[in-house]
Amino acid sequence: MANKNQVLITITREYGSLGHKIADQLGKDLGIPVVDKALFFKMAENHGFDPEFIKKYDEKPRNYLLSKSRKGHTNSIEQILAEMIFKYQRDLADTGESFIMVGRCADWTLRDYPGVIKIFISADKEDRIAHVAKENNLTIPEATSLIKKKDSNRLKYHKAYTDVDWGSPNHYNLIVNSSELGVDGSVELIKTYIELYKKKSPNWED
Amino acid sequence: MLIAKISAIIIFLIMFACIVTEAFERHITTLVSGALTLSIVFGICMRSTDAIIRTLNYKSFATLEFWYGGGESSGINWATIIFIAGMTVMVEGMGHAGFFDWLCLKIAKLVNYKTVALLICFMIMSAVLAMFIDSITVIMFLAAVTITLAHTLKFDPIPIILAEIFCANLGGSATMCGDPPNIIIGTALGYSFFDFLSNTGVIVGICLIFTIIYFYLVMRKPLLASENDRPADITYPNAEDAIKSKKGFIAVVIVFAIIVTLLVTHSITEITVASIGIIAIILTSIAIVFAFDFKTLKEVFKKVDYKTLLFFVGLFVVVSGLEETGCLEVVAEFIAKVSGGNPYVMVAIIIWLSAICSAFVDNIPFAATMVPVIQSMAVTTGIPLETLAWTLALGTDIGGSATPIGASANVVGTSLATKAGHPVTWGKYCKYNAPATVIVVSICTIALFVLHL
Repeated sequence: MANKNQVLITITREYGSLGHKIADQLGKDLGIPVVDKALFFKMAENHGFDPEFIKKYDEKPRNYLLSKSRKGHTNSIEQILAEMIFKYQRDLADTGESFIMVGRCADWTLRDYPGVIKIFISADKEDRIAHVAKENNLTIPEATSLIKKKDSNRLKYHKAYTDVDWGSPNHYNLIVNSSELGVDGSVELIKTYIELYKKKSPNWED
Repeated sequence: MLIAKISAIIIFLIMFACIVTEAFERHITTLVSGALTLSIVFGICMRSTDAIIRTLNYKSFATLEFWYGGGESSGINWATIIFIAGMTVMVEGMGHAGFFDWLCLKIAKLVNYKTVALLICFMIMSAVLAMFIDSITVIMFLAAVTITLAHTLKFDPIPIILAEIFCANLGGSATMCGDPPNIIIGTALGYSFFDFLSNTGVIVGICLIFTIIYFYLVMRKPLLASENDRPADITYPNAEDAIKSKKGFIAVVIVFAIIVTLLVTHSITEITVASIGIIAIILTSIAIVFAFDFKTLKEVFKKVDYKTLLFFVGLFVVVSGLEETGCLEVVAEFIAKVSGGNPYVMVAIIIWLSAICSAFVDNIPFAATMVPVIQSMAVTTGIPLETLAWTLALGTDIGGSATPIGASANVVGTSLATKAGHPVTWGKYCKYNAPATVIVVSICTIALFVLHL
């Protein structure tokens, strides 16, 4: 369970900020797995949920008018799915293995685990639009609109299930703007931070 | 008085909005609203200490009628609260001893695990248990066993769980202790368990037959098909394994039998439901200590939903605010006016209004608010109060089945199914249970016309 060498990194990111690519590269460099949407979906599928169904209800806040809670039970599918993902995140952390978790409020779920490093990846708006347009083959207005929608969803989701604001500076250990440094530079910056953190933090053993 | 009325209405509306949106925990909402009613409506606007004393109703504890004999109640309905507390302790004790799991698994074995037979048996069991036990508990155990059996026998549990939910709400409307609105109606208006059973109970019996036919016709095909796909090498769960202690099991069954007997006969013995609640607490405590130990008793008491009891306390105070300021008389007069004094129209309005409202908002505040309304209507229109009481009970209890948020049993049942990987969407829920609700409320309307007008 408790493993002093466990590396727990959570990456929260703005849409189009290259956060996922940074997480993948960081995982490769550190030799630890990246737990992301695909794995969360796989877990939900193993629970019997249909993939299309998961997509429909994933990363959405609870609708208080269309769902209720009684005696610790809620019939909000969004909340049940979210809680399932949060439990999965904690279960993984409890194994003592190291990993990087991308999105899905992992920064909040794992906040009390010793040595967890919470990172927020941001980028300049123009760069984000350019990345999203290129990745998804979209026009600039379409990419802008998609970014707005995705960020709004992430903000609402975070607000619904945590007590901190998404992107709030004092909640994270490190906030990285990937515009200047790109994927490689951001990864190097994070790795440097981890090294310094290891030296300072009593939670780490060499 | 106008300011008092406006204040009472504003507090009530804000409370209702907070309950619907779950902005705060339900009991916090009603307790704060109750405190505001006492201080603003009664204290500042009405300057009436008498209204506060009547609402707090603490003097009722010292009266003989509260414990023996019974009668109508106003203000905080302490009898309801004590009774619910007693039944909750008893039900927690029964659950701890493994009674419900044993019963479900035993019945499944008796019908040889045939899915259609399971559907019918679990529907009847849900309705019968909900007559005596709160529907949340009934669904919690029935849905859990249904899911276990579904995974073992490879069938979709959703149709059966939805039918169980519907029947739990239906069965709850048959008796005074089946559903919180009935406890409120019964204790506030002085009706007994037998009064409910011989009025709403008869109508519910008729409705149950139609309900079974409806769910059988709608769900038999997929359930029968699942039997053909059933694997040959199945290890069936053993009912006896559910029993944690044989001694405890027998003890809680005896307590349950005593409480049911006291409830059925309380109009003859004149032992009030408040006394029955206290007896349930004492007997369950003795049974648990006898069969297990004090530590287990502590665990059982810890599981009691105190928040719901506090929710009731605050709610009764807010409704008293509306009652004392005369707001509810206005509602009563309005309904009487709209119906033109025609009792058939009045009954139809009450049952369908109650059903529609209960499908979307909490039926407990609705029922608590409507009790003084029907009292006022009975006085002004001459329609027997009993008729209006049964109409209100059936409408609020059964209407809640129409949507996934209409009643607590729906929330718990759909939640358990979804967590087990069988998500119940609004569409899926309403496809089966909304038509059933319309059919059953229609049958109730006709039955009320024929039997009570």
